[in-house]
Amino acid sequence: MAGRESAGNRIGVEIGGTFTDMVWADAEGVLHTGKTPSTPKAIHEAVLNIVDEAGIDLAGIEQVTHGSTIATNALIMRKGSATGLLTTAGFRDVVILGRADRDHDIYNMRYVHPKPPIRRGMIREVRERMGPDGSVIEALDLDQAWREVETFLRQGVDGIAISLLHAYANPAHERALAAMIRERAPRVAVFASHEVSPEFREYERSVTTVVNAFVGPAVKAYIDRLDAGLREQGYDGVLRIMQSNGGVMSAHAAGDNAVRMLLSGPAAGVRAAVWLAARNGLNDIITLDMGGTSTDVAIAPGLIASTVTELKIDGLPIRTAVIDMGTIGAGGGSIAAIDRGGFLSVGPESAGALPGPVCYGRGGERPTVTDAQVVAGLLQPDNFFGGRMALAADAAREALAGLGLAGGPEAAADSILRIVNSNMASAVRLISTSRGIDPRDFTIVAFGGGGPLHAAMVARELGIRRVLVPWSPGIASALGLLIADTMIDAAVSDLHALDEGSLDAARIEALSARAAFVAQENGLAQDTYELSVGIDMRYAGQAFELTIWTDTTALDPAALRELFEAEHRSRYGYARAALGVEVVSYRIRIIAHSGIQVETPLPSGTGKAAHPIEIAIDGRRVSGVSLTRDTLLPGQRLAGPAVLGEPTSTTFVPPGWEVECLPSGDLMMVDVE
Amino acid sequence: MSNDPTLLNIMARALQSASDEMAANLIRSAFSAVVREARDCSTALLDAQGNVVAQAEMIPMQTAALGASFAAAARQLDLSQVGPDHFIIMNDPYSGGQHLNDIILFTPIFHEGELLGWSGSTAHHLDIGGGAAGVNTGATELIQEGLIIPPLLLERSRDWNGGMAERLIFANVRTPVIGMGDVDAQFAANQTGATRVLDLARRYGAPTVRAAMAGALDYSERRMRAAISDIPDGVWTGESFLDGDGLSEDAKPIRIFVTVTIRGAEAEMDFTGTDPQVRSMFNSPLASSVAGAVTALRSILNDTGMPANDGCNRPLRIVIPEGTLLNPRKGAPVRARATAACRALDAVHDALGKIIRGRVPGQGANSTTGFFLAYAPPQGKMAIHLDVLGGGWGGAKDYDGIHATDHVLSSCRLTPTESIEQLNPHVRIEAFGLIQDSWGEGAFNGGMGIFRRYRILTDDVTLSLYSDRFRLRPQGREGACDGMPAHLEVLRDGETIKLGATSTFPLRKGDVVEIRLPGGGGWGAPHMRDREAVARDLEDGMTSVRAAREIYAFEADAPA
Repeated sequence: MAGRESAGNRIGVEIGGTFTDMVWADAEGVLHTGKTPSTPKAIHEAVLNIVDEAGIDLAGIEQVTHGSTIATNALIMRKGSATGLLTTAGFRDVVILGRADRDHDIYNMRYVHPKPPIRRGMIREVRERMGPDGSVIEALDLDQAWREVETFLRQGVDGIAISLLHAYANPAHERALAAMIRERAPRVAVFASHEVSPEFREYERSVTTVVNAFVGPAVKAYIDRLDAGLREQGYDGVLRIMQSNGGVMSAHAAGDNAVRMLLSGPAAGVRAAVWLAARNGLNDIITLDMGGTSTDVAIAPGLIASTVTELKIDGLPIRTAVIDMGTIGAGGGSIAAIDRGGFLSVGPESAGALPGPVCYGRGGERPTVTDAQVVAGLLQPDNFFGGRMALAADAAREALAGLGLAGGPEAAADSILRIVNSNMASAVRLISTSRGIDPRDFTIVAFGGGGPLHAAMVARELGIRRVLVPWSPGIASALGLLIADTMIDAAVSDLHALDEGSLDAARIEALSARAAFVAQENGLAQDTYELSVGIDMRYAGQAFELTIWTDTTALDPAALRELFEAEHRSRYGYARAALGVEVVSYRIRIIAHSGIQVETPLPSGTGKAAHPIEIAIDGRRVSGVSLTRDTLLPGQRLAGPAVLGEPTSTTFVPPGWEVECLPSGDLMMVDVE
Repeated sequence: MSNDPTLLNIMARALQSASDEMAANLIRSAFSAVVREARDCSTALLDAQGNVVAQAEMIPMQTAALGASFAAAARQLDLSQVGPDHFIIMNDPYSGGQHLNDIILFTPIFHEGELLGWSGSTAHHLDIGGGAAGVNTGATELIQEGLIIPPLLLERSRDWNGGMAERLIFANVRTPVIGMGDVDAQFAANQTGATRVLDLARRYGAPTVRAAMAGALDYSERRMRAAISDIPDGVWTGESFLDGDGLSEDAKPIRIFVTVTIRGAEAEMDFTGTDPQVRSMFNSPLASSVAGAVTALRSILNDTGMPANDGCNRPLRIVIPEGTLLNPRKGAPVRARATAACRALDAVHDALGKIIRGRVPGQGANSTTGFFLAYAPPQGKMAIHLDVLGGGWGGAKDYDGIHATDHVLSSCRLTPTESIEQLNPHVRIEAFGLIQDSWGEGAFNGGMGIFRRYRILTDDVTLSLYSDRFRLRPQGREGACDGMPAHLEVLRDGETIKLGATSTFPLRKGDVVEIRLPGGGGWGAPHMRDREAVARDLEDGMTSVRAAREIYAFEADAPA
């Protein structure tokens, strides 16, 4: 981990479904970009290809950070390793039964639960039992357990997950079982629930452990291939892997902690947004990341992105720290249609990359959001993708006319855009106003291919007056990889009444010791990281907790109660002094700052100068200008309506708004009405 | 602007997400286990006349009936002088309520001095007084089931937060602090809805909000009519049976009878012919019965995703004679009303299964099973463990029923064993899982039933239960098998004591209690089931070798 204060010689590579993006900091800390088609059959090759195409000498690179959807894809396709699960006798079906939750489509009597990550035939029971207080009720029968393991070995498993009842309270049986398997069957990867997710609620803990086992070996093999490929090219630096919490972990930790990678792409984008906001002196931001099939929004008051402790993939609850994001099924490829009640609806069905929007001319026939953008005049054929891709505007018009709405294709385009903007605004409200935060003094940071096109219109709906469009918004995730800090989250279940214990000096010491252990596991030396502590609290009788984050200052029960009640009031609108408060878990977060010093290239001043265009928006037709983004230089301003094109994105400045190129080269759009 | 269809569309969605947000807050901040684990709550936005215009997707039992609750309140109260400080509170099953535990709260939404609409929420409260903690299984009058709150128009600053009405109500409740916390959560949820509506009014103007409310009702009505039109016209009858009234083991089954008429885009469900009301808590008040009937129809339409509001009910006519199990006379107990409402659903499906055969599923376990283990030591703290367990759902054409899931009118989740044991020093769960061969085998199987085995760790524990389908099995359809019925037994000193569907039983330290929930009925003949599916079920231990051979006619030595 040397070279901490180094300016450059670092690479961030993000693999997406269609393209692989790279941001590279040269020895002087100046950033460069690269884009190459992904190679789905041998995914890691795209990384080597892009490095090769850019002519980078890997021998001089100190650090490569990688973001990949490999874990997510393995899970969604259910194409992971052959995995067995060992659980407490009498509880074989915990993972099959789930929580029997039914939270949507409530009138449907053909309801289907999420598909379990493992078949019932691959779950075996071991004789043992712990009590909720960690006392041993029945000793572990290792001989019987080994016979079950032997069955798994005959079935050819690659990995075994162990999840025993109340193991969060006393992991002794899980430890003994894991030690036995590791000793007698060293080729099998072993994952114990108290290591992967040491918190109560057996379904969520078991699913998290099973998924980790299911995708872990695939992730490890992939990273080993990538690492070997890089080293063959002379690379001798550190390989880091992005996680869902917005921080990175070292590559050698990834195989054991694959669940931490599941939402790493969107998290990397948020991390980039925080960095970009900071360099422009912004403090409170909302991120808007619009891609081809969906849009993610997140909030970072004081430039700290809120995190939650569980995510859902394919309906399965996975307990891991993840940036709190709202996702809606509205991207460029989202399809517009008339529903059964005669209302226009947009998404979640998507035309994807193939056939794609009608205007791409690749066989798409159903109108999409991108087609609406073209018909409205917001995507200019001569400016799209840096002018490298033709847009069939006539076909898009025809498809929109096919919706049969009054007013023709332009009115249809306007309606589609309004619905998309309104859906995005609703998603922002859910992570702001619903959490008791007034978004109006926040700045939206817009990225992804489509974010800068919609952001100002979304801001208008929310009463937000400023939108930052950063450098190369289409590859923000790769930038996030490059600049991300190392950040490890861990948790400890510890249920007690708030007045029976608190965040006193002894508890801080215990948590610090745990943090030191976790840090060491993740290759972080002492004194190279910061520690934050989170306390999950609830009123006795509630089933959902609120997490209060603090530094390592000791806090008495009264102070903690005050913080909890303030948060409860802001989230749920009330607090009750007469009720007891209990602590459920403690969380630790370790951050080792990357200390990176890089700068993005300034606008080149080249490209198409502003020329007049017609835009159809808000039910009327207005005159505006279209230009290449690179022609707007630091300090220059331009009044909307205007469309600024660049290779990875398009920015739209609505009427009544103005755009300014900041000294950093990023764009700031401001409501001037 | 109010004739701009895109704006009305956007605003209707905004009203919908406002009611969803109300519900999300209510669930996450509630104390009542039934609210947070069972979603036994509902939230809605109503127009100034009291029509439900947007509603969160909570449980159909409540969502299908909230507009009727407001209408009943409006008939009894003078709402002409309502101001911003007023609210309506009620739980009376004979004035539009469900059962007494469900407290309904309506708060007005005022914009610039004018009534724009109402926020509404219902929450199942942990305790509402009455003859027993948990469920008073022996009640023969409503008044024994708890405190009755007729619709009351109160003023928040005067009557609540320490005011007279709040003190009076919670003086009659066993867990007043928690109960007040839950009403606080309801007020907060209602406030969230009001804030969102007022935000819309500020941005677009009150007339546009009103137009959007009307537009949302019309929109759902259009979708409902289109979906009903897809069913052939005609008149069909159907029936279903409850095991009995729960008062005695050998009571005879109670029949629900319905005549369903489809005429164009309209449907009528007439329950004339249903057996009279009973003396026990198995009566279903009108609101719950209507919810059962409406859900029965909506669940088999070709469009199950329409936004729920009172527009959906416009093409429906529901007739339920007074004095029957589904519309008892004032004063009869109703605590276990879900069972009869579920049978109303079964009866409607029995009728519609005669015409749209491919769309109607086999019967599911389809009962509320309320299982209580109350620990009341002579000294010390009382603890009640409540489990609401579901069984298998019915299989249908191209659909295998899901396992172990609460019925469609409700939505109780499974509580983690680890949480149960943390909170209940008197109980250890010894085993919990699927029961092999418990489903109704078919071309498409019903869902599997489940069992849970509890070891009782102390004396002074009382078991109480209400359930159904202990005697009458969930029926398969189109040649499929029935699901396995429910079962409850206590193992004591090597002896097995069998208990019935409505039981109260004192337990001792060392007793082992096992409850089994029914599997769902299947759909279509078992020998038509996909062979690979049978092989997989065998491998996974869901089907026994014997059932595979005898019921599915599956050769076990075929390639698995």
